[in-house]
Amino acid sequence: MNCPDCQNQFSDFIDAEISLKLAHSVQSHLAECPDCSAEWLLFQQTVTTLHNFPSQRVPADFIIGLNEKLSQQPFAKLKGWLAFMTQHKLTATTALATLMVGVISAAVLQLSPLDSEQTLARKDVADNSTILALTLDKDQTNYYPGIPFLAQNTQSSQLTIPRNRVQFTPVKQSAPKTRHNSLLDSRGSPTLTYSATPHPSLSRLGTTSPDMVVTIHASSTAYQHALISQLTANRNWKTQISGNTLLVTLPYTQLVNLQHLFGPADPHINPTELSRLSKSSSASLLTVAVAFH
Amino acid sequence: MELFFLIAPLLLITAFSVNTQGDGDEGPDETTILVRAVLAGDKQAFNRLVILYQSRIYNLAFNYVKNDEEAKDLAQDVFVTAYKALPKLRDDTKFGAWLYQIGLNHCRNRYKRLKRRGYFTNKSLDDDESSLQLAGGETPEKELEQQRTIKLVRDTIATMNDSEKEIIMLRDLQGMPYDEISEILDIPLGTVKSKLSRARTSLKNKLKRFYSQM
Repeated sequence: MNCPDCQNQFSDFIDAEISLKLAHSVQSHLAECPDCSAEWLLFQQTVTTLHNFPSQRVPADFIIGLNEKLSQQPFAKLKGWLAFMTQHKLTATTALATLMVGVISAAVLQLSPLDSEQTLARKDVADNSTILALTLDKDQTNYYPGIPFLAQNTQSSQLTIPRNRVQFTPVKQSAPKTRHNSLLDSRGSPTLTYSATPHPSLSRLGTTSPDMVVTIHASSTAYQHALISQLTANRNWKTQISGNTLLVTLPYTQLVNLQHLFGPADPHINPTELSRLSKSSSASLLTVAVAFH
Repeated sequence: MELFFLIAPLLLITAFSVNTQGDGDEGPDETTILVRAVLAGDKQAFNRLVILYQSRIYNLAFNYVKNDEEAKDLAQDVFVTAYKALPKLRDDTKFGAWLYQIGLNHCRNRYKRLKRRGYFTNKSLDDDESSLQLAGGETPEKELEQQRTIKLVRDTIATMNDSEKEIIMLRDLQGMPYDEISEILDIPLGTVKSKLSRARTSLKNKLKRFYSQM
Protein backbone atom coordinates (compact mmCIF):
# COMPACT_ATOMS: atom_id res chain seq x y z
CA MET A 1 0.00 0.00 0.00
CA ASN A 2 1.36 3.41 -0.94
CA CYS A 3 0.90 6.69 0.97
CA PRO A 4 -2.07 8.18 -1.03
CA ASP A 5 -3.95 4.86 -0.82
CA CYS A 6 -3.34 4.72 2.89
CA GLN A 7 -4.45 8.30 3.53
CA ASN A 8 -7.57 7.76 1.42
CA GLN A 9 -8.61 5.02 3.85
CA PHE A 10 -8.34 7.22 6.97
CA SER A 11 -12.01 8.15 7.03
CA ASP A 12 -13.30 4.60 6.67
CA PHE A 13 -10.58 3.33 8.96
CA ILE A 14 -11.56 5.64 11.82
CA ASP A 15 -15.22 4.66 11.41
CA ALA A 16 -14.33 0.97 11.14
CA GLU A 17 -16.01 0.82 7.77
CA ILE A 18 -13.28 -1.20 6.03
CA SER A 19 -12.54 -4.89 5.91
CA LEU A 20 -10.15 -6.45 8.38
CA LYS A 21 -7.63 -7.19 5.66
CA LEU A 22 -7.58 -3.58 4.51
CA ALA A 23 -7.39 -2.39 8.10
CA HIS A 24 -4.29 -4.54 8.65
CA SER A 25 -2.70 -3.12 5.53
CA VAL A 26 -3.34 0.42 6.75
CA GLN A 27 -1.97 -0.36 10.17
CA SER A 28 1.20 -1.95 8.78
CA HIS A 29 1.75 1.02 6.44
CA LEU A 30 1.31 3.49 9.30
CA ALA A 31 3.85 1.55 11.32
CA GLU A 32 6.38 1.89 8.53
CA CYS A 33 5.65 5.40 7.17
CA PRO A 34 6.29 8.36 9.52
CA ASP A 35 4.64 10.89 7.12
CA CYS A 36 1.40 8.91 6.94
CA SER A 37 1.59 8.32 10.64
CA ALA A 38 1.81 12.06 11.29
CA GLU A 39 -1.10 12.67 8.92
CA TRP A 40 -3.10 9.97 10.66
CA LEU A 41 -2.54 11.64 14.04
CA LEU A 42 -3.79 14.96 12.68
CA PHE A 43 -6.77 13.24 11.07
CA GLN A 44 -7.61 11.42 14.28
CA GLN A 45 -7.29 14.64 16.29
CA THR A 46 -9.63 16.48 13.92
CA VAL A 47 -12.34 13.83 14.01
CA THR A 48 -12.03 13.43 17.77
CA THR A 49 -12.45 17.18 18.22
CA LEU A 50 -15.60 17.03 16.12
CA HIS A 51 -16.96 14.11 18.11
CA ASN A 52 -16.30 15.97 21.34
CA PHE A 53 -18.27 19.01 20.30
CA PRO A 54 -20.62 19.90 23.15
CA SER A 55 -24.30 19.41 22.46
CA GLN A 56 -26.37 22.55 22.91
CA ARG A 57 -29.22 22.36 25.37
CA VAL A 58 -32.57 23.13 23.85
CA PRO A 59 -34.12 26.26 25.42
CA ALA A 60 -36.84 25.49 27.95
CA ASP A 61 -39.45 27.55 26.11
CA PHE A 62 -38.83 25.83 22.80
CA ILE A 63 -42.10 23.89 22.67
CA ILE A 64 -44.12 26.81 24.05
CA GLY A 65 -42.80 29.05 21.28
CA LEU A 66 -43.40 26.35 18.71
CA ASN A 67 -47.02 25.91 19.81
CA GLU A 68 -47.50 29.66 19.62
CA LYS A 69 -46.24 29.61 16.07
CA LEU A 70 -48.48 26.67 15.22
CA SER A 71 -51.53 28.31 16.74
CA GLN A 72 -51.09 31.45 14.65
CA GLN A 73 -54.01 31.85 12.33
CA PRO A 74 -53.76 32.15 8.59
CA PHE A 75 -52.92 35.64 7.30
CA ALA A 76 -51.15 36.26 10.59
CA LYS A 77 -48.31 37.92 8.75
CA LEU A 78 -50.71 40.19 6.87
CA LYS A 79 -52.52 41.06 10.08
CA GLY A 80 -49.23 41.71 11.81
CA TRP A 81 -48.18 43.98 8.98
CA LEU A 82 -51.49 45.87 9.13
CA ALA A 83 -51.13 46.20 12.88
CA PHE A 84 -47.63 47.54 12.39
CA MET A 85 -48.88 50.03 9.82
CA THR A 86 -51.67 51.20 12.09
CA GLN A 87 -49.35 51.45 15.03
CA HIS A 88 -46.92 53.59 13.09
CA LYS A 89 -49.69 55.60 11.45
CA LEU A 90 -48.54 54.57 8.04
CA THR A 91 -52.02 53.72 6.76
CA ALA A 92 -52.79 57.31 5.80
CA THR A 93 -49.44 57.61 4.08
CA THR A 94 -50.08 54.41 2.15
CA ALA A 95 -53.53 55.59 1.13
CA LEU A 96 -52.12 58.92 0.00
CA ALA A 97 -49.37 57.19 -1.94
CA THR A 98 -51.94 54.92 -3.60
CA LEU A 99 -54.07 57.92 -4.52
CA MET A 100 -51.10 59.70 -6.02
CA VAL A 101 -50.18 56.64 -8.04
CA GLY A 102 -53.78 56.49 -9.30
CA VAL A 103 -53.81 60.14 -10.29
CA ILE A 104 -50.48 59.85 -12.08
CA SER A 105 -51.66 56.71 -13.88
CA ALA A 106 -54.85 58.46 -14.98
CA ALA A 107 -52.86 61.43 -16.24
CA VAL A 108 -50.53 59.19 -18.18
CA LEU A 109 -53.48 57.34 -19.71
CA GLN A 110 -55.13 60.62 -20.63
CA LEU A 111 -52.02 61.84 -22.39
CA SER A 112 -51.35 58.58 -24.15
CA PRO A 113 -52.46 58.44 -27.84
CA LEU A 114 -55.45 56.18 -27.25
CA ASP A 115 -57.94 58.30 -29.25
CA SER A 116 -56.42 59.07 -32.61
CA GLU A 117 -59.25 61.33 -33.76
CA GLN A 118 -59.00 63.55 -30.71
CA THR A 119 -55.27 63.62 -31.03
CA LEU A 120 -55.42 64.59 -34.69
CA ALA A 121 -57.96 67.32 -34.02
CA ARG A 122 -55.77 68.63 -31.23
CA LYS A 123 -52.79 68.51 -33.55
CA ASP A 124 -54.70 70.43 -36.22
CA VAL A 125 -55.57 73.17 -33.74
CA ALA A 126 -51.94 73.31 -32.76
CA ASP A 127 -50.91 73.55 -36.40
CA ASN A 128 -53.38 76.37 -37.02
CA SER A 129 -52.06 78.21 -34.03
CA THR A 130 -48.56 77.83 -35.39
CA ILE A 131 -49.63 79.10 -38.79
CA LEU A 132 -51.37 82.05 -37.22
CA ALA A 133 -48.36 82.82 -35.11
CA LEU A 134 -46.09 82.60 -38.13
CA THR A 135 -48.42 84.79 -40.17
CA LEU A 136 -48.62 87.40 -37.45
CA ASP A 137 -44.86 87.31 -36.95
CA LYS A 138 -44.31 87.60 -40.65
CA ASP A 139 -46.71 90.54 -40.95
CA GLN A 140 -45.02 92.42 -38.15
CA THR A 141 -42.44 93.50 -40.73
CA ASN A 142 -43.88 96.28 -42.81
CA TYR A 143 -42.51 95.52 -46.23
CA TYR A 144 -45.05 97.70 -48.00
CA PRO A 145 -45.77 100.92 -46.14
CA GLY A 146 -49.28 102.20 -46.51
CA ILE A 147 -50.73 98.82 -47.34
CA PRO A 148 -52.82 97.23 -44.61
CA PHE A 149 -51.57 93.96 -43.13
CA LEU A 150 -53.21 90.87 -44.43
CA ALA A 151 -53.62 89.65 -40.86
CA GLN A 152 -55.74 92.67 -40.05
CA ASN A 153 -58.26 91.65 -42.67
CA THR A 154 -58.43 88.14 -41.33
CA GLN A 155 -60.60 87.22 -38.43
CA SER A 156 -58.73 85.21 -35.87
CA SER A 157 -61.77 83.07 -35.22
CA GLN A 158 -61.57 81.77 -38.74
CA LEU A 159 -58.00 80.68 -38.23
CA THR A 160 -58.67 78.80 -35.05
CA ILE A 161 -61.36 76.62 -36.60
CA PRO A 162 -59.93 73.14 -36.80
CA ARG A 163 -59.46 72.31 -40.39
CA ASN A 164 -60.70 69.07 -41.78
CA ARG A 165 -58.01 66.61 -42.49
CA VAL A 166 -58.35 65.83 -46.16
CA GLN A 167 -56.01 64.34 -48.63
CA PHE A 168 -54.85 66.87 -51.19
CA THR A 169 -53.75 65.68 -54.57
CA PRO A 170 -51.58 68.09 -56.49
CA VAL A 171 -53.39 69.61 -59.44
CA LYS A 172 -51.37 70.69 -62.39
CA GLN A 173 -52.48 74.11 -63.41
CA SER A 174 -53.13 74.33 -67.08
CA ALA A 175 -52.57 77.55 -68.99
CA PRO A 176 -55.56 79.27 -70.59
CA LYS A 177 -56.33 77.98 -74.04
CA THR A 178 -56.26 81.48 -75.49
CA ARG A 179 -52.64 81.87 -74.52
CA HIS A 180 -50.01 81.92 -77.21
CA ASN A 181 -46.67 83.54 -77.91
CA SER A 182 -45.72 83.38 -74.31
CA LEU A 183 -43.30 86.09 -73.29
CA LEU A 184 -43.17 85.31 -69.61
CA ASP A 185 -41.86 82.07 -68.19
CA SER A 186 -43.18 81.14 -64.84
CA ARG A 187 -40.33 80.20 -62.49
CA GLY A 188 -42.28 80.10 -59.31
CA SER A 189 -45.39 81.27 -57.57
CA PRO A 190 -47.37 83.21 -58.55
CA THR A 191 -47.96 81.97 -62.02
CA LEU A 192 -47.64 84.56 -64.69
CA THR A 193 -48.97 84.21 -68.17
CA TYR A 194 -48.78 86.52 -71.09
CA SER A 195 -51.42 86.97 -73.72
CA ALA A 196 -51.14 89.13 -76.79
CA THR A 197 -54.85 89.22 -77.46
CA PRO A 198 -57.12 91.43 -75.39
CA HIS A 199 -58.42 89.80 -72.28
CA PRO A 200 -62.23 89.48 -72.18
CA SER A 201 -62.45 91.59 -69.06
CA LEU A 202 -60.56 94.46 -70.77
CA SER A 203 -63.51 95.32 -72.88
CA ARG A 204 -65.01 97.10 -69.92
CA LEU A 205 -62.01 99.47 -69.65
CA GLY A 206 -62.99 101.37 -72.73
CA THR A 207 -59.42 102.17 -73.65
CA THR A 208 -57.16 101.08 -76.40
CA SER A 209 -56.18 97.49 -76.50
CA PRO A 210 -53.16 96.74 -74.33
CA ASP A 211 -49.88 95.73 -75.89
CA MET A 212 -49.41 93.00 -73.41
CA VAL A 213 -51.56 91.17 -70.92
CA VAL A 214 -50.02 89.63 -67.82
CA THR A 215 -52.27 87.29 -65.95
CA ILE A 216 -51.35 86.59 -62.35
CA HIS A 217 -52.59 83.41 -60.75
CA ALA A 218 -51.66 84.37 -57.24
CA SER A 219 -52.98 82.51 -54.21
CA SER A 220 -51.63 85.11 -51.80
CA THR A 221 -53.79 88.19 -51.34
CA ALA A 222 -50.84 89.91 -49.70
CA TYR A 223 -48.80 89.43 -52.83
CA GLN A 224 -51.59 90.88 -55.00
CA HIS A 225 -51.92 93.89 -52.70
CA ALA A 226 -48.20 94.42 -52.74
CA LEU A 227 -48.03 94.21 -56.52
CA ILE A 228 -50.90 96.63 -56.95
CA SER A 229 -49.25 98.99 -54.52
CA GLN A 230 -45.98 98.89 -56.44
CA LEU A 231 -47.66 99.34 -59.80
CA THR A 232 -49.70 102.31 -58.66
CA ALA A 233 -46.88 103.94 -56.68
CA ASN A 234 -44.81 104.88 -59.73
CA ARG A 235 -45.78 108.40 -60.77
CA ASN A 236 -44.46 107.94 -64.29
CA TRP A 237 -46.91 105.12 -64.87
CA LYS A 238 -50.54 105.62 -65.55
CA THR A 239 -52.81 103.06 -63.96
CA GLN A 240 -56.45 102.29 -64.26
CA ILE A 241 -58.33 99.65 -62.32
CA SER A 242 -61.36 97.81 -63.52
CA GLY A 243 -62.63 94.71 -61.78
CA ASN A 244 -59.74 92.37 -61.40
CA THR A 245 -57.60 93.98 -64.06
CA LEU A 246 -55.09 96.78 -63.73
CA LEU A 247 -54.13 98.62 -66.86
CA VAL A 248 -50.63 100.12 -66.65
CA THR A 249 -49.30 102.53 -69.22
CA LEU A 250 -45.58 103.03 -68.96
CA PRO A 251 -42.67 104.12 -71.16
CA TYR A 252 -41.28 101.30 -73.16
CA THR A 253 -37.87 101.86 -71.58
CA GLN A 254 -39.25 101.03 -68.16
CA LEU A 255 -40.50 97.64 -69.17
CA VAL A 256 -37.57 96.14 -67.27
CA ASN A 257 -38.73 97.89 -64.08
CA LEU A 258 -42.17 96.40 -64.55
CA GLN A 259 -40.58 93.05 -65.09
CA HIS A 260 -38.71 93.36 -61.78
CA LEU A 261 -41.93 94.11 -59.91
CA PHE A 262 -43.12 90.61 -60.48
CA GLY A 263 -40.55 89.57 -57.92
CA PRO A 264 -39.68 85.94 -57.65
CA ALA A 265 -41.58 85.08 -60.80
CA ASP A 266 -39.11 87.19 -62.79
CA PRO A 267 -40.88 86.89 -66.15
CA HIS A 268 -38.57 86.41 -69.01
CA ILE A 269 -39.49 88.33 -72.11
CA ASN A 270 -38.60 87.01 -75.47
CA PRO A 271 -36.27 89.53 -77.26
CA THR A 272 -37.93 88.92 -80.63
CA GLU A 273 -41.29 89.75 -79.20
CA LEU A 274 -39.78 92.82 -77.54
CA SER A 275 -38.53 94.20 -80.83
CA ARG A 276 -41.96 93.64 -82.34
CA LEU A 277 -43.54 95.50 -79.46
CA SER A 278 -41.10 98.41 -79.75
CA LYS A 279 -42.01 98.79 -83.39
CA SER A 280 -45.71 98.65 -82.68
CA SER A 281 -45.47 101.18 -79.82
CA SER A 282 -45.19 104.33 -81.88
CA ALA A 283 -45.45 106.72 -78.92
CA SER A 284 -42.81 104.75 -77.00
CA LEU A 285 -45.51 103.94 -74.45
CA LEU A 286 -46.42 100.47 -73.56
CA THR A 287 -49.80 99.43 -72.22
CA VAL A 288 -49.79 96.38 -70.01
CA ALA A 289 -52.90 94.84 -68.59
CA VAL A 290 -52.31 92.97 -65.32
CA ALA A 291 -55.16 90.61 -64.69
CA PHE A 292 -55.50 88.97 -61.28
CA HIS A 293 -57.06 85.55 -60.92
CA MET B 1 -41.04 -5.37 51.38
CA GLU B 2 -38.49 -7.83 50.00
CA LEU B 3 -40.36 -7.70 46.73
CA PHE B 4 -39.91 -3.93 46.70
CA PHE B 5 -36.13 -4.26 47.07
CA LEU B 6 -36.14 -6.75 44.23
CA ILE B 7 -38.19 -4.55 41.93
CA ALA B 8 -36.59 -1.22 42.88
CA PRO B 9 -33.26 -1.89 41.14
CA LEU B 10 -35.15 -2.97 38.04
CA LEU B 11 -37.16 0.24 38.10
CA LEU B 12 -34.02 2.27 38.61
CA ILE B 13 -32.28 0.54 35.71
CA THR B 14 -35.30 1.15 33.50
CA ALA B 15 -35.47 4.84 34.46
CA PHE B 16 -31.74 5.24 33.92
CA SER B 17 -31.91 3.66 30.51
CA VAL B 18 -34.73 6.02 29.51
CA ASN B 19 -32.77 9.06 30.71
CA THR B 20 -29.54 8.09 29.01
CA GLN B 21 -31.31 7.62 25.69
CA GLY B 22 -32.03 11.34 25.71
CA ASP B 23 -33.79 13.22 22.93
CA GLY B 24 -34.33 11.50 19.68
CA ASP B 25 -32.67 8.21 20.51
CA GLU B 26 -35.97 6.39 20.44
CA GLY B 27 -36.44 3.64 17.93
CA PRO B 28 -37.99 4.33 14.55
CA ASP B 29 -41.03 2.32 15.52
CA GLU B 30 -42.09 4.89 18.08
CA THR B 31 -41.55 7.65 15.55
CA THR B 32 -43.72 5.88 13.02
CA ILE B 33 -46.47 5.32 15.57
CA LEU B 34 -46.37 8.96 16.56
CA VAL B 35 -46.46 10.11 12.94
CA ARG B 36 -49.51 7.97 12.32
CA ALA B 37 -51.14 9.35 15.44
CA VAL B 38 -50.51 12.92 14.30
CA LEU B 39 -51.97 12.12 10.91
CA ALA B 40 -54.99 10.68 12.68
CA GLY B 41 -55.48 14.03 14.43
CA ASP B 42 -53.64 13.57 17.73
CA LYS B 43 -51.93 16.91 18.38
CA GLN B 44 -50.20 15.69 21.51
CA ALA B 45 -48.42 13.09 19.42
CA PHE B 46 -46.75 15.87 17.50
CA ASN B 47 -45.45 17.35 20.76
CA ARG B 48 -43.93 13.98 21.52
CA LEU B 49 -42.31 13.92 18.09
CA VAL B 50 -40.89 17.38 18.77
CA ILE B 51 -39.43 16.19 22.05
CA LEU B 52 -37.82 13.27 20.25
CA TYR B 53 -36.17 15.37 17.56
CA GLN B 54 -35.83 18.87 19.02
CA SER B 55 -32.28 18.40 20.25
CA ARG B 56 -30.97 17.15 16.91
CA ILE B 57 -32.73 19.83 14.90
CA TYR B 58 -31.78 22.56 17.36
CA ASN B 59 -28.11 21.52 17.27
CA LEU B 60 -28.17 21.32 13.49
CA ALA B 61 -29.55 24.86 13.40
CA PHE B 62 -27.05 26.04 16.00
CA ASN B 63 -24.13 24.67 13.98
CA TYR B 64 -25.34 26.74 11.06
CA VAL B 65 -26.23 30.06 12.68
CA LYS B 66 -24.12 29.84 15.87
CA ASN B 67 -26.63 31.79 17.95
CA ASP B 68 -29.14 30.60 20.54
CA GLU B 69 -32.08 32.77 19.52
CA GLU B 70 -31.59 32.30 15.80
CA ALA B 71 -31.18 28.55 16.28
CA LYS B 72 -34.36 28.37 18.36
CA ASP B 73 -36.37 30.32 15.82
CA LEU B 74 -34.92 28.31 12.96
CA ALA B 75 -35.62 24.96 14.63
CA GLN B 76 -39.17 26.05 15.47
CA ASP B 77 -39.71 27.01 11.83
CA VAL B 78 -38.51 23.56 10.80
CA PHE B 79 -41.12 21.91 13.02
CA VAL B 80 -43.87 24.27 11.85
CA THR B 81 -43.08 23.39 8.23
CA ALA B 82 -42.99 19.70 9.11
CA TYR B 83 -46.36 19.92 10.89
CA LYS B 84 -47.99 21.61 7.92
CA ALA B 85 -46.40 19.26 5.38
CA LEU B 86 -46.86 16.06 7.35
CA PRO B 87 -49.91 14.91 5.32
CA LYS B 88 -47.64 14.98 2.26
CA LEU B 89 -45.14 12.56 3.81
CA ARG B 90 -45.19 9.52 1.54
CA ASP B 91 -43.42 6.97 3.78
CA ASP B 92 -44.15 7.42 7.46
CA THR B 93 -41.17 5.24 8.38
CA LYS B 94 -38.82 7.86 6.91
CA PHE B 95 -39.95 10.73 9.12
CA GLY B 96 -36.46 11.32 10.54
CA ALA B 97 -34.75 11.67 7.16
CA TRP B 98 -37.63 13.79 5.89
CA LEU B 99 -37.42 16.10 8.90
CA TYR B 100 -33.68 16.48 8.40
CA GLN B 101 -34.23 17.39 4.76
CA ILE B 102 -36.61 20.13 5.81
CA GLY B 103 -34.13 21.20 8.47
CA LEU B 104 -31.23 21.39 6.03
CA ASN B 105 -33.29 23.41 3.55
CA HIS B 106 -34.30 25.86 6.26
CA CYS B 107 -30.73 26.10 7.52
CA ARG B 108 -29.33 26.77 4.06
CA ASN B 109 -31.89 29.48 3.37
CA ARG B 110 -31.51 31.12 6.77
CA TYR B 111 -27.72 30.98 6.53
CA LYS B 112 -27.77 32.65 3.10
CA ARG B 113 -30.15 35.33 4.30
CA LEU B 114 -28.12 36.09 7.39
CA LYS B 115 -24.89 36.07 5.43
CA ARG B 116 -26.36 38.51 2.91
CA ARG B 117 -27.25 40.83 5.76
CA GLY B 118 -23.70 40.64 7.10
CA TYR B 119 -24.90 38.87 10.24
CA PHE B 120 -21.79 36.71 10.56
CA THR B 121 -19.29 39.43 9.72
CA ASN B 122 -20.83 41.92 12.15
CA LYS B 123 -21.06 39.38 14.93
CA SER B 124 -18.62 39.72 17.78
CA LEU B 125 -16.05 36.96 17.92
CA ASP B 126 -16.73 36.41 21.59
CA ASP B 127 -20.47 35.90 21.20
CA ASP B 128 -20.29 32.18 20.62
CA GLU B 129 -17.92 31.46 23.45
CA SER B 130 -20.39 32.37 26.14
CA SER B 131 -23.01 30.03 24.72
CA LEU B 132 -20.85 26.94 24.64
CA GLN B 133 -21.88 24.45 27.27
CA LEU B 134 -18.91 22.34 28.16
CA ALA B 135 -18.82 19.39 30.47
CA GLY B 136 -17.94 20.32 34.02
CA GLY B 137 -14.95 19.12 36.00
CA GLU B 138 -12.32 20.84 33.84
CA THR B 139 -9.97 23.53 35.04
CA PRO B 140 -10.79 27.05 33.82
CA GLU B 141 -7.62 27.12 31.69
CA LYS B 142 -8.49 23.83 30.08
CA GLU B 143 -12.09 24.90 29.50
CA LEU B 144 -10.90 28.10 27.89
CA GLU B 145 -8.55 26.17 25.65
CA GLN B 146 -11.31 23.77 24.71
CA GLN B 147 -13.64 26.65 23.90
CA ARG B 148 -10.97 28.21 21.72
CA THR B 149 -10.48 24.96 19.84
CA ILE B 150 -14.19 24.46 19.33
CA LYS B 151 -14.63 27.99 18.07
CA LEU B 152 -11.74 27.60 15.67
CA VAL B 153 -13.11 24.34 14.33
CA ARG B 154 -16.58 25.86 13.98
CA ASP B 155 -15.18 28.82 12.09
CA THR B 156 -13.16 26.51 9.85
CA ILE B 157 -16.25 24.43 9.10
CA ALA B 158 -18.08 27.61 8.22
CA THR B 159 -15.51 28.30 5.49
CA MET B 160 -16.17 24.95 3.81
CA ASN B 161 -18.64 24.51 1.00
CA ASP B 162 -22.23 23.46 1.77
CA SER B 163 -21.78 19.85 0.72
CA GLU B 164 -18.70 19.28 2.92
CA LYS B 165 -20.18 21.25 5.80
CA GLU B 166 -23.41 19.27 5.81
CA ILE B 167 -21.83 15.86 5.68
CA ILE B 168 -19.48 16.69 8.56
CA MET B 169 -22.37 18.07 10.60
CA LEU B 170 -24.51 15.00 10.01
CA ARG B 171 -21.81 12.41 10.59
CA ASP B 172 -19.38 13.92 13.10
CA LEU B 173 -21.48 16.46 14.97
CA GLN B 174 -24.81 14.63 14.89
CA GLY B 175 -23.35 11.11 14.88
CA MET B 176 -25.71 9.80 12.23
CA PRO B 177 -25.13 6.45 10.53
CA TYR B 178 -24.10 6.34 6.88
CA ASP B 179 -27.39 4.93 5.61
CA GLU B 180 -29.41 7.73 7.22
CA ILE B 181 -27.07 10.34 5.75
CA SER B 182 -27.52 8.63 2.41
CA GLU B 183 -31.29 8.96 2.76
CA ILE B 184 -31.21 12.57 3.93
CA LEU B 185 -28.84 13.80 1.25
CA ASP B 186 -30.36 11.42 -1.31
CA ILE B 187 -26.99 10.13 -2.48
CA PRO B 188 -25.58 6.55 -2.63
CA LEU B 189 -23.75 5.11 0.34
CA GLY B 190 -20.42 5.04 -1.52
CA THR B 191 -20.78 8.73 -2.33
CA VAL B 192 -21.44 9.47 1.33
CA LYS B 193 -18.19 7.74 2.28
CA SER B 194 -16.09 9.43 -0.37
CA LYS B 195 -17.59 12.85 0.36
CA LEU B 196 -17.04 12.42 4.06
CA SER B 197 -13.43 11.36 3.48
CA ARG B 198 -12.77 14.44 1.34
CA ALA B 199 -14.49 16.76 3.82
CA ARG B 200 -12.57 15.40 6.80
CA THR B 201 -9.23 15.57 4.93
CA SER B 202 -10.02 19.14 3.87
CA LEU B 203 -10.80 20.12 7.45
CA LYS B 204 -7.65 18.44 8.72
CA ASN B 205 -5.52 20.33 6.18
CA LYS B 206 -7.15 23.62 7.14
CA LEU B 207 -6.52 22.98 10.81
CA LYS B 208 -2.91 21.86 10.29
CA ARG B 209 -1.46 25.28 11.06
CA PHE B 210 -3.50 25.52 14.24
CA TYR B 211 -2.34 22.10 15.40
CA SER B 212 1.29 23.00 14.78
CA GLN B 213 0.95 25.96 17.16
CA MET B 214 -0.45 23.79 19.93
